[in-house]
Order: sequence, then C-alpha cells, then structure tokens
Amino acid sequence: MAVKQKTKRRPAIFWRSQFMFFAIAVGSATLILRLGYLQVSQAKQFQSQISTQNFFSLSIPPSRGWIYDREGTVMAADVPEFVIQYVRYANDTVSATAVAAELAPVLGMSANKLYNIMINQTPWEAAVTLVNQATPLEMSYIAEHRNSLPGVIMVTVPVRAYPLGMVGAHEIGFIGAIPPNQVNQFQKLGYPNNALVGLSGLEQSYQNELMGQYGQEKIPITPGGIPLDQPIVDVPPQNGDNLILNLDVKLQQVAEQALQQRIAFLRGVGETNVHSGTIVVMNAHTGAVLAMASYPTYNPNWWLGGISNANYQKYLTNNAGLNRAISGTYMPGSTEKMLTAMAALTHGEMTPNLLVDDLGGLQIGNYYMHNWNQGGFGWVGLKEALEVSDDTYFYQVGLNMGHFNTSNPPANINAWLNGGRVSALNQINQLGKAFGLTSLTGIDLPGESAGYVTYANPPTLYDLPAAAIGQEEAYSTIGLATYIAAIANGGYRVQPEVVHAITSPSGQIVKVIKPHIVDKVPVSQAYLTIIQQGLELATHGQLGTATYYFGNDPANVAGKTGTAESGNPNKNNSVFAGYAPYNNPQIAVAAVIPNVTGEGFRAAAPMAQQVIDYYFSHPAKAVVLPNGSNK
Amino acid sequence: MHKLHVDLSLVVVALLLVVIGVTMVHSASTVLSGIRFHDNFFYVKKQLLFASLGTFLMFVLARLDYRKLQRVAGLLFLLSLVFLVLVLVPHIGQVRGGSRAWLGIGAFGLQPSELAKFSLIVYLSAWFARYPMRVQSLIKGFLPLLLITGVTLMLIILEPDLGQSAVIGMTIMVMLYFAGARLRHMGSLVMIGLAAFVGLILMAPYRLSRVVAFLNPWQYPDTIGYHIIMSLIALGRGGLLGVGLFHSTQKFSYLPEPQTDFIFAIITEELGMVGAVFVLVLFLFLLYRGMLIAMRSTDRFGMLLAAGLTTVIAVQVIINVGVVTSLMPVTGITLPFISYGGSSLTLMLCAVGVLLSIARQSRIG
Repeated sequence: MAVKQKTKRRPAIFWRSQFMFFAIAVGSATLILRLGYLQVSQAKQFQSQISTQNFFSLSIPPSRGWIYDREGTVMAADVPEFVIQYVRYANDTVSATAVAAELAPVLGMSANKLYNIMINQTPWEAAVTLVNQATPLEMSYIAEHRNSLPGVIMVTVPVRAYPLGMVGAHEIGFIGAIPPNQVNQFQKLGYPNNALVGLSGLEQSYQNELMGQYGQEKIPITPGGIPLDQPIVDVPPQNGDNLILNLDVKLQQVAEQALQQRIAFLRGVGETNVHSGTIVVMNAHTGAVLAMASYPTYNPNWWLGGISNANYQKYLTNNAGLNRAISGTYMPGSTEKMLTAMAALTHGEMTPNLLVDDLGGLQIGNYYMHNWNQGGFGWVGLKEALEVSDDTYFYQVGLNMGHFNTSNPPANINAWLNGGRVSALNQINQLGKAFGLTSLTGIDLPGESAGYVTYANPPTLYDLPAAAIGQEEAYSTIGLATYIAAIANGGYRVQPEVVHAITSPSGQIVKVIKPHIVDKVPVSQAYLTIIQQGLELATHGQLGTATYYFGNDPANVAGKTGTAESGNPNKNNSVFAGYAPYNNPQIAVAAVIPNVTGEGFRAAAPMAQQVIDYYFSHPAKAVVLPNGSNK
Repeated sequence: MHKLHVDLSLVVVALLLVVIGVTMVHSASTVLSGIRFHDNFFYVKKQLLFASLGTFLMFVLARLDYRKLQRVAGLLFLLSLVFLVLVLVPHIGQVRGGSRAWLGIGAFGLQPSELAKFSLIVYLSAWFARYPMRVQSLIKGFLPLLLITGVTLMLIILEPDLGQSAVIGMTIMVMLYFAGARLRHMGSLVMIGLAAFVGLILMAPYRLSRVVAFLNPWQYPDTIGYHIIMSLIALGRGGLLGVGLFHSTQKFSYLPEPQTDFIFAIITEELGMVGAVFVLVLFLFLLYRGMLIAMRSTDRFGMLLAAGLTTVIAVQVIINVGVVTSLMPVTGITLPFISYGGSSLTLMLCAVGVLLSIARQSRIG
C-alpha cells in the first residue's frame, strides 16, 4: 500500500515541482528584466525627476521697477544694498557654533550674541540676516573665508528709494510689508511672506508690473535638512517693469508749493480752519495728469525699512496719507452751474435765451432764497449768469427743471417733492455721471471716491434750487477736472491717467497707455459753446467773478469759481475749475481749498493761476520715451 | 555529519546574503542612525547581533533531526497563535509604522507574525504528512486547513499587516499545491482570496491609495507616491554600475526607513544593476537548492517543509523587489537575509538550518 502510494505520488510531485521551478525562473526573469528597463533604459528619466527631491530654497528678490516723470526724472528707484545672511540648515548647530565663533569679531559682537541671532532670530525664515548694510571690510572677509564659513552668504538686496522725497508722494505711494489681511492673496501670486508690496499710490495700483518675479536659489538637501554635495539650482529673479508718468515733476512742485503757500497764507491771516487742499492739472484732450497735489502730505521715504512711530503720527495727522485730489469729495458750489445749465438745456427745460429778473433772490413757498449779491443783478441771460455767478438765475433754472412755478405752486406739494423735484435731481445726477462727477473717473490710482448728488431726506422745497447752485452735491477734484476738460474739448470725457508708458527692465517699451475717451457727453456743441463763452466772461467780463485774477492773464483762462457752505458756520469750500487757453484749450485745472472764510474765490483761484502761469511759461514737453537702457 | 559538506553551497549562499545584508544595512542606515541615536552604527550593531544569533541557530538546527519538529508542530503553532492574540492587546503589543505588530522584550521586539508564518508552515507540513490523502477531500482536508490558515491570517490582518498575510496566504497555496490538493479546490480558493483582497481594499481607503500610487506615483509625489518615486530615483541614479558602495544619496532621509523594506533600492543605487542582479542570482540559487531539497527529501514532512520554507523566501523576494521596482503596490515586506529586522533575519536563518537538516536526510549530492 505504502509503496503503491509512493509510486502514484511521485509523478504528481515531479510535475508540480517542475512547475514551481518554472514559476520561480519566470519570476526572477521578470524582476531582472524590470531592473534592466528601469536602471538602464529609463535611468535618465528618473534622474530628471530629482526635482521632486527636497531643496532648501532662498528667495532672491527682484529689483522693483523704477518710476520716472515725463522728462525722465527718477521719482522712485531701487538701490542695491549688500546684506550678509546666514542660511539655516536644520540640525546643523555644530557648524553654526564654529561660524559664530569665527565671524563674531569681524562683525563686532560677541560669539554668543551672534549665535543667538543665527539660530533664534526670525525662525520662520530660511535665512537670517546678520548685517543689513555690509561694509567692504566685512564683505571681503567673508569672500576670503568662504570655506570656513559654511552657510554665510552675501546677497544683494534691492532697496526702494524716493529721491524727490515728498514730491508726488500721493501719486507715487510707497511700499511696505504685506498687510495681514492680504497675505493669502499675495501668496497665491507666489510672493514670499517677507515681500514688500505697494501699499499706496502707483506703487499699489501697478504692483504687478513693478514687482517682477522672485528668483530662487535651491540647495539640494535631505528631508532632514542636511545640504547635499550637489549643484545648486539658480533661478535668477526677473526685475520689475518701469513706469513713465505723464506727471511733470517741475509743474508738480509748483502745484504743491502753490497749494502749500496758499494754505500757509490763509492760516497766516487767521484762518486756522484751513489745513487741506487739492489741485489737479490735466491735459484737456488726453486726460494725461500733469500735476496733482494734495495737502497735507508726507514723505514716502518714511515708510522704508518700517515707519517710525514719530513719522507714523505725522502720517496720520490730518490724514496726510489721503490723496484728497481723488479720495476727497467736496461741495462744488457755483462750479456746478454749468452742469445745471447743460442738463436743463439738453432736456429742453430752458432755452439758451432764458432771461431771469434777479431782484436779489427768489421766493419759493415759505422760503426766500438769496442771491450771493443781495442787491440783485436785474435781468440776466445765461452767459451773464455764469459771468457774475448769479444764484437767482440758477434757482430759476432748477425750478424750471422741476416744473415748479413760483407764482402758481403745485397744489400737492408732497407729490411735487417726490415727483418733479426728484426727476430734476435725476437729470443733474445723470449728466454728472457722463462728466465723471457722480461716477468714477477711472484714474489709475487706488482709492478714488465717486461724487454724488444728495437727495435730501426729508425733502424740502428749497433743496432743488440749492442743488442747482452746487450746495447739494459733492465731487472729487479729479472729477471736476474731467468735467471742465470735457466742456473745454467739445464734450469728450477723458479718463485721467498718471502713467504714460510701461517699459521693461532693459528699457524696451512694454506698453504705451493711450488716451482713453470714456464717453461723449450728451450735450450739443452749440450749448457747449454758450457755456464756454460764459466761462470766458467769468474770467474776463467786467463783472466776472474771476476777472480780478485772470482778466489780464496772458494764458487766456476760462473758468468758474465756486463757493460752497462747507458745513462749518461761515466757512466755505473754495473751488476753481477752468481751462486754458480759452480758444485752444490745452490744460484743465481743478482746485479746492475747504473751510475758507467768506467768498471762496480768494483761495482756489489765485492758487490755480500760479500753476497755470507756470505751465504756459514752461509748457510740458512730450513724454520722453527711452530708446535704450534707462537705468 | 558527513552529509553537511554536501550542502555547503547553501550555507555559503545564505551567509553571503547575510554579509551583503549587514553591509547594506550599515550603508543604508548610517544617516538615520546618526540622526535618531547619534550613533551611525546603531542599526548595524543590532543587525550583526541577530546575524550571529541566527547563524548559531542555523547550525544548531542543521545538526538536529528536523523530524522532531513534527512532534512539536502543534505546540509551536498554538504558541504563535497566543502571541498573535497578545500582540493585539494594547499596552502589550507595540505600534510601529501604523501596525500593532511587535511584542516588546526589553530593547528588542519580536514580530509574532514572523513566528506564526514559520510555525504555520511546520504545522501544515506535519498535518499533510500525517493525513496524506485528506488534502484531496474538501470536508476532511481542504476546509479544516482553510480554517486554521484563515484564523491565523485574520489575526495578522487585524494588526494590520496585509503584506505579511499575503506572503503567508501565497505560501500556503504553494504548499497545498505540493501536498496534492485538487486544482479545482485551489482554483475556487484563488477566487475567494481575490474577492477578500478586493474587500479589504474597499474597507480601508489607504490600501486603495497605495494601489493607485504604484500605478502612477508621479501623481502623488508628496504623499502616497513618495516611496515609489524615491525608490525609482535610486534605481535611476544607480544605473548599470551604481554610484558606489556607501555613496547613496537616497538614504539621506529621502527614502524613509531605507534599511528595511526599501533596502533593495539602496543596493540598486550603490551597486547598480550588476549588484542587484548578483543578489537576485544568489536568491535564485538558494531557491533552486531549496526546491531540490524538497524534491529529493525522503519523507513527506521534509518535502512539504522544505517546499514551504523555500516558498516563503521566494514570495518575499518577489514581492519586495516587485515593490521596489514599482511592479506591485507598496507592502511592508522585508527582503530575506538582507533587510534590517531581528525577527525576520533570525527566523530566516533558522529556516536555512531546517533546510540543511532536511538535506542531510535526502539524496542530495
């Protein structure tokens, strides 16, 4: 039985064993073939995958783009600073001790202190800065002792500088550490957390163009943080693009000085409420911003390397950091009257031949609304009304727009307040949008505020006529500039632009920002001509409100003064909006000084005159574009 | 005694593999030892200790009559089951690398699953030898065997150590095959096994992700594909001739635990394809000798025992190298004789000792 079993079993076991031999042979052959495939024919491909290995990455900051005025004057630059850094490899305290011992005497501090800085300072960063502005002596020592100072490196760090200081501060802006609430947004763009970004002005609005791209030095390390003896991967930074502005530094300086001097003068004669003001000079056809001043102002250099507490207090005082020319909205006063007239004319609510008998004011229901000249001007037409800034005339125009007959008031006053009055305010508001007064002008600076028309609540009988003379609106200075420019240039509302062109680090033109016409205002040329003539009378007529300043001015200015109750008792916003020359407009100017005592023309108009006079004695040259390297 | 010299080749090959192993463990672990224990020789010292212990036990077992194992097989298996249950008890079993698979004995740890793997082979060999015909019967042979194996595998899966249970499952299949089980029984078993495998993957998503990672590791370079990519980079760096002994860079914490499951990657990197193929040829020779011993053994217990022990080595080599060369999903299987690990190395050398003992009785030579 046992023997029989054996003989029966033998062949089965034999074949099954043979199969096992075969299986093992096939298995081994597969593995060897696989090894050959991976190690020999695919080796190159896997070696290229070494990029998935760990690297110790140091960010190399790009040089930020420079900012030039229209003639090539540098307004913002990047200057190189030599920085000594220590690269921290994890688990490498032994060599740190040695480095600290050797380097401490050179840097003039104790080894313990240096070691402490090397290990403990800014622990979240890959490399720690040991010296910010390295001396030639320190640099040469490190260069010569490179081998005994592993991890110590010299880096050229570009540092921002604003060589003109306060000139154009609000337009240029400044850079600083990424604000905590924007960290995510900049991380997505690939910025390291310690990157400096534009926080204001053009530095902010053109951040992407100016920034450039961070470079990287990638040192191969183990996941444990130990550097490997493998080549360092060097990705050089890409420097940022430059900005060439429409701004004219000389005109800008004149505008800033005129503004500052005017405020100082007013304060000198006891007007201590006056502490701020704006003035904008713009090409009337292209929207190129030639000068833009806002007072009080600040020095962007304060922000470099972190702002000191004293400077920060100065920056906050009277909100000096605010660019009032675009962010401040002021009641326009009589500069509103052109808009009121154009709205009424285009809607057929008045004819260009409307005559009003100004007896010193107008009775509206229970209210008597005074003209500024309480004696009255008698019968006046539209041009004369603009010349003498006749309030009564425009009260009447406003009431015409609302279909309110003073001698036969509507029976249902409430219905009128919500009907005729509102539709008249809407007409003013809508035309204001077309001129950039109640809409954003779209200037290439951050923080612009749109103007607005107030719809008084509760409504009153007198707020429509008040709106007609500019007491119910608030506009930005830049909005006033686009408004007066559109009147001057035949109805084209242009977008104000501070930047003229963007150039590459090597000086090639990347982009020229062309003048942008936002819209053609819905006012016929005939009406615009009447308005222009009215503005010319205001500066040259016998009774013109600004004739005192511009009557004999060689620049042949046309414009309108404005006085608006600023909210403080007996204090008025002093406004001027004008253009020159009258017969061939080149520039549009808008200026505001709030909180002036008495009639406003004393403040804004003479300041505007100073700037206009300078412009025509030193007219802006064409923007200088580079034809090669411009650094 | 005189028969021992006959299988000197087996001894030489096994010891050669151990020498290569100790050398490579030293090379692969020197960085990790330094970082973890501030002693670059920490792992290699332990490995040398177990290599000595294992070699000693190998010679002891070679001199013993393996048939004595047949008598203690039941006891040995029962002891392993006790250990397997104990290791699952928190505070007794130690968790390393996500599995509760170690019983701590002082500074050393025993892996009960390693012990169970070998004792199950011994036990099944004894069982098959005692009831030679039952294996062909479904009720009397096949199913009870499945029950015994199933209980063991279930305990190991609970740790969880899926790789170890796969090795055991495949080994048992081969033993059944050698013992003469019916092919249709085995065929259905394979189907059930596959279904269970799929079920296990569905139960724990990390197993599925491991499978996915091996198919396309570049898609998950930072997570589950990391091991495989680092392994492939090691292979690519090694090329035909290798970067030279002790010159691996992948061991610089790129490959996690380079001294255990991925030691073959370090071999390919430092010694190149030539070195890797040499190691595989050594294994091939070992397996050839093992199978020869099985075929020529004079009794059924010896035949099945030799086949089982050889199969364990074969399966582990194929899985380990298959993982390193990205032919299989990542499973924590050591490379016999070479990977760092006390339990594994000692028991593998014991297995060689038993093979030598079987060879003494057989007609080899």
